Amino acid sequence: MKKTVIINRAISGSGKSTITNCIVEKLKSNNISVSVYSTDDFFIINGRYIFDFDKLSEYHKKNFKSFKKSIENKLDVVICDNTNLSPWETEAYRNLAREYNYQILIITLDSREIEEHILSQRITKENPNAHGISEETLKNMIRRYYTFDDLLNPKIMVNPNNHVNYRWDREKEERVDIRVSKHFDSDMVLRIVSSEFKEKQLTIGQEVLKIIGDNK
Amino acid sequence: MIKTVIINRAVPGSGKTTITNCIVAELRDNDIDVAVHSTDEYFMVGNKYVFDIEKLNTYHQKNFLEFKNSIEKKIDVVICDNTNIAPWQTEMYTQLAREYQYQILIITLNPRELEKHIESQKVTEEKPDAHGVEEDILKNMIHEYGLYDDLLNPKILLNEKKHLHFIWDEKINKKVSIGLAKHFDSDKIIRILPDEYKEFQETIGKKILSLINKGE
Repeated sequence: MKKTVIINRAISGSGKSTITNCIVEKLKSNNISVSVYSTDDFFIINGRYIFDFDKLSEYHKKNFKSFKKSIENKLDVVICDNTNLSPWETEAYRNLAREYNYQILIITLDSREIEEHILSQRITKENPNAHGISEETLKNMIRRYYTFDDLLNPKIMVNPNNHVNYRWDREKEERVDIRVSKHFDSDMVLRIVSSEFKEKQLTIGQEVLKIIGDNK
Repeated sequence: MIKTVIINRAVPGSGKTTITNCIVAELRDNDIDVAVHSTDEYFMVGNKYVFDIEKLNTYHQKNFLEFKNSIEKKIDVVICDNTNIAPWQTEMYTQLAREYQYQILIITLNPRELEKHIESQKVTEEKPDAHGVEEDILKNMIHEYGLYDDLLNPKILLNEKKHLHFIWDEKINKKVSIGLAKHFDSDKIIRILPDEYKEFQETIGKKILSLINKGE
């Protein structure tokens, strides 16, 4: 069996959690140890998602530390369940995976229509732990998802006009370009397009099992 | 200098020829010999494009032989200027490139809006050499461009429902599926988006030049 890090990549409302649950269930029923780390989980207070920008960086660090612990404990499969839209967001996780000789599988879920994402984010009685991400943020995330999508391909030439790492300067309220982006690092990439989403829920567990190389 | 095969990949009306002309001009300015081989050229009668499906296979073979000729003569840069939408269409060309130790660069031009492709294909007084490719065929090509795009990435896992391998059946002049597709073979890929197209006309020549000279 190959120790495996799975890096999810998707904007909110793409069905990341559903797919992750399908994988976890299948692995556990095959006695494969698995743990899931999502920065978002730190924002859940009493079953409600309460986002606080000031805590984002702290929670990312916390999430990474927990992820690291699982790798050090040599769990079979460790899943990083953040949005991971651009390569630099995955870099720390990727470095650790390489250091401990885990193979890396990226599961990338293509965005749906913007309306569906907006709907999925609405907090309702039936959906009390929706994340309530604003339309503008969602649009921005969809744009970033596709801008950096090409960098999943190690052969593609980086385009310095599009593929730029940047941070948000909160005092000046402007974008600060840091450097031209690198590629994502992975051994395999599995893409789920939105029209395949239902079907994938049934097959993804088996597929991941095969990739791990455990067919018992 | 690194001998280079360039494989263009685009739906008709994406500006393949314009980009190719820019590259050829820049290379010739720098005394680099370059040959362009396009199956479409064989359908030109005078300055008019007259497509004949019965001749497609013969012309593809002719084009390949000419391409082969250029490689055997060790021309510095040899360009395959077909639509090359799916991997199986490029396979003969990339295999030959490997055999003669050419590096392979794929230039992939993303489609524009369907209407613009239709417009570009209309035969008019100003452009009597337009190819007159029909709307249904263009639609299908745009669909297939998206379908096979993922296979530019050697890390992407094949999807057996979507990624099929075809061969051309001469008797019925149709493509016939024979199992699972392979990935495209390349060393580098340049993607040109529709909104970058104008800018690329200025810069593509220099980019290619630096790829040929340094391999980077």
